[in-house]
Amino acid sequence: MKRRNFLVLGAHVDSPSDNATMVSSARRQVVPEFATRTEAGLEPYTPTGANPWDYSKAAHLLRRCMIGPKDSEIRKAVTDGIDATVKQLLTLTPLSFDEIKSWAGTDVQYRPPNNDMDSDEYKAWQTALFTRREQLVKWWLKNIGTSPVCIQERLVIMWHNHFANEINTVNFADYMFVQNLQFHKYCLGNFKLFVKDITKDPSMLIYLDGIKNFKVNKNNQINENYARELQELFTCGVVDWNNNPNYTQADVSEAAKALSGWTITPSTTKDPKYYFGLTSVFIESRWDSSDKTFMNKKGPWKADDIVDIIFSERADQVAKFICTKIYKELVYDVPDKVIVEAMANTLKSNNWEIKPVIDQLIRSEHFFDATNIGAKDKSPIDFMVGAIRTLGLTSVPDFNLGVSGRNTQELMNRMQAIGQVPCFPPNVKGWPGGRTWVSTSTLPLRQKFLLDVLDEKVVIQKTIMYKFDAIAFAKTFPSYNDAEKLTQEISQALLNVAPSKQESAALLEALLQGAKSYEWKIDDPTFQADKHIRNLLKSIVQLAKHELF
Amino acid sequence: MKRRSFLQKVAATGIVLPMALGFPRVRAFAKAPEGSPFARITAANKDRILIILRLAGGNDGLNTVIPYTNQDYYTARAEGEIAIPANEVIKLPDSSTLGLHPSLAPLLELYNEKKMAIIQNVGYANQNLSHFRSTDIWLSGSDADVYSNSGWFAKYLEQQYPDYPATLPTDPFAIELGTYLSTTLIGNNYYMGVAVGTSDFIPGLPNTDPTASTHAGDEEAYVREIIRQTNIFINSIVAAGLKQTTNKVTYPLNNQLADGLKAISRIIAAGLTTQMYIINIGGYDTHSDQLNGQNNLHKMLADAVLAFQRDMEAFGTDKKVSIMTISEFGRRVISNGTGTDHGSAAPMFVIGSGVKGGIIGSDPVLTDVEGPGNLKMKVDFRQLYASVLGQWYGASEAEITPNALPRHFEQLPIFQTTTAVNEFETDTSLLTLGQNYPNPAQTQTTIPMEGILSGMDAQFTLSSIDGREIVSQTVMPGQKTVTLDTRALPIGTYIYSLKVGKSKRTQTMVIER
Repeated sequence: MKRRNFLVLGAHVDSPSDNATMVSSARRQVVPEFATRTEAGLEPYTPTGANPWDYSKAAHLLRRCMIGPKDSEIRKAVTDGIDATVKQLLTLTPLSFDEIKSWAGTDVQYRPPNNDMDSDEYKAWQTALFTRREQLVKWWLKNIGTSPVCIQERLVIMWHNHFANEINTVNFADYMFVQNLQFHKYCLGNFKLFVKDITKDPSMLIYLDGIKNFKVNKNNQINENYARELQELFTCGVVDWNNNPNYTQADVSEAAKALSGWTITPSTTKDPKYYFGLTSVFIESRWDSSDKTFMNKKGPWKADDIVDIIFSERADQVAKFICTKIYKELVYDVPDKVIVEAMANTLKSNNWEIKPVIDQLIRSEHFFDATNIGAKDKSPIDFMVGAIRTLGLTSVPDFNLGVSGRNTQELMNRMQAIGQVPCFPPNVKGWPGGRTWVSTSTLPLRQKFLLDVLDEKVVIQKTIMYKFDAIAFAKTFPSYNDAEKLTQEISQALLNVAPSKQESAALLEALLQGAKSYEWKIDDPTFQADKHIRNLLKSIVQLAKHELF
Repeated sequence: MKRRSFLQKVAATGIVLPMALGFPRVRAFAKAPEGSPFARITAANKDRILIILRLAGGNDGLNTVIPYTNQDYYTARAEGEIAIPANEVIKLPDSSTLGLHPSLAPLLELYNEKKMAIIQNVGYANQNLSHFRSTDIWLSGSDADVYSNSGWFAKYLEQQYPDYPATLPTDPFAIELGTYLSTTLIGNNYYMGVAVGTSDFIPGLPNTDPTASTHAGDEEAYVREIIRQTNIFINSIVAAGLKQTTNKVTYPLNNQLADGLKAISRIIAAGLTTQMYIINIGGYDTHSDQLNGQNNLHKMLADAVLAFQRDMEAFGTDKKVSIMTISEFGRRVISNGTGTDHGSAAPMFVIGSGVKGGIIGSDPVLTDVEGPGNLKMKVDFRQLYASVLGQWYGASEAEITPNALPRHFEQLPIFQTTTAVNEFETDTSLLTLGQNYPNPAQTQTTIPMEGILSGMDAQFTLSSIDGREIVSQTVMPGQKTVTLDTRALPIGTYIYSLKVGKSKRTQTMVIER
């Protein structure tokens, strides 16, 4: 997509000038909705001599399914082979919530008995509210940063982005926690059941006004908020692939009536005047019992009926809509129509089970095609938490749930500035992702974070944060005694596409800093290998390739 | 406040490297055609700036500009207790039926000074009612049944600056506060603006070795371009912020919009030539708790905008800066209890010293509704855009349609018109064209030049000795070199020149092998 270049007088010109204002590397910046760049389909990838199961492929699989895999995990995946690795990735592991058990999973105090906002009691209640929000986000970030080799945290974030709720609106971390458990439970589960349960999920009922959607006698407060998003964002989308509408405004209004009557349970273990339970309940007297005509089906529909009708009347659209999301999450942000259609068929023929779709996708020739390797823009979670995990950084302020306050939200603040904090999506549609992650606004903050970490510049109360042990890190690589091989091994552990010749030379130079290769002595304190390794990493994280995975 | 953080401040500290030269390039604006109802402000509008405040979520128009004498309004809304009592409404002096929401009281000052236009019943045909579709439609300027990823202003800019991004200006064309660009600033092919956050870190320039012909290679090329633009543009924005470190008036505290506008005011005063700023404000999706929610949002907006306008006036930059509000839809006439569901038409504001002021359009008719009970639109939102492009930026109809907007839209009398044509003073005394190097040239050569100032339309030409033109190209303000690939040129002597208006500088070069 090269543009006319006014300086090209001959047939071809290499960028002749260092003058930044004169040389453009710009291809088209605007991406299409769909694109095909490979014939490779969903048939399983089979390693061959010419196309072996190697570090690059294992790294691709782990990077896409996890957040920030380590070199050692990638090497193990090479040894284990693709079958065992996929099996491990798709086996969910139990979560630990020891650090938040003082409140997570217990009934929710929605207001203190003393409603005077100046009272100590009220203030304590309010402080607890905010502390819990903070703890939930930290707990989540820590889960990601310390996750075993498993796909669940990748998918939990994907589903959070799909059924996006904002904690500032939901108000109670307690319910977002319950929702998080649903995301874990269903991340590879049955999508139709998932939608039915999330429709009644307390967070969702609060966030999209389900609890305010009711009809009691003449008091008609039918609220369309959830009914619209259920169709537009959660299941079938506004239009199909031919731009035909999937539903009408009348469908929204009718669905809203059917969805009415749900609310959050009163507490059964504590005083229901001040406490709610953690589940929801259908109260028939609050439900609009009239006949509704939804997607041309007439009946006295309730919530589950609406979901059933969407999944039967718009099965194809739902399957394609969801598989597009899965494709974008795991493969590339510009989906391939043929592949998405094949995934949609798998989803439908497996009665809406998600696991077979993902299993097929991440084993496929298409998934491992070179065009897709290193083609995704890192989200802030990938970039920040991924780096923490890959580099083995310790003293991560936000992983300390025991303390609270500004200094302990170091990571959260940085992530907010670059556009993503779990529990804080921008709106019900979630984060747009793709190229929006890397902008003139976020790129300098992303790079600066890792440069500061590597320079040990992030200091809180005289303590260095995000500690990085450069020597220990380098020694996890097999060839740590060989400068050239070490450069290559560290590069492949951090970059998804091999550096160019020009880049490789610059990286080796960054490690050696004027020394000769044969002078490389990692164990000699006078050589100060620590500084050399940090310098190499600083060069790597400034490459455009490092923004991608 | 439903949104966590809807805008970020422009950094106040950081690396400084003040830019002496600005942007944009100026086209020769034609005089308004005879008999045109809204004569363009010719010649004076090359430095015009528009600030778009996007009220995300769908602002309830009926509780913004309130038809307080209309009983239908109270019938539709009293039951849910979201109607604003007539005695609390801020009455507009030249209307017997309309008033502002009480929290918008600060704007009455500007309205009285004829610095605020209210355009009634703005929307589009076949309102989609989805936030996201409707936002896409508003931001792109497309019809309701057209799916477009590119925006009206970016398409206008792409046409104005065909050499972008091969050649970058010193200042960005447009700035959006936040982490990424919205569709308005994304063109058919390129991003025509930059997103600006809190960073003052300037990354180094990217590699220039080739990228692969894969999806991964496309993304790498994309990231490199972002790095390059960050390197250049964040530098100029930060420099402007440091050149003007104070404001002339006190802005309200704890007001995030004010924080954003305060920073913008400073960089405008410092001379940044950016033509559009976009600020997104969330929280307008008031399905519930509307009274409280809208109260806070209106107050934030009115306090911030009034301070900003006064600041601009004190700086003397007010005549070239306008503010326009947009929102994806209004809300339903009838309340749902404590809030309102998605509607269609709503009033929009255009504010600034260059605005005519007053109410454009008729009062909303609450009984004349469509769909689930939504106000009918009477003014297409593209009429606002056409007016902005035509009257504010001085674009001709041919420049507006069909490139920026899909077809002709009748302009509205929003901006002041002037018959005075103030020809731009072109100071070419600093204009110099240096000797190329190397000279004689073999495969390539670089030509130095100076003094191409903001507002100049400079042309570089390379001709053969017998006067045949070989290369002719616009040179951007601030640009200091032109590099030529000379491999395809026969050996011999050539003439090159730099022309601005009637001033011309000429030199000769030799090509050898």
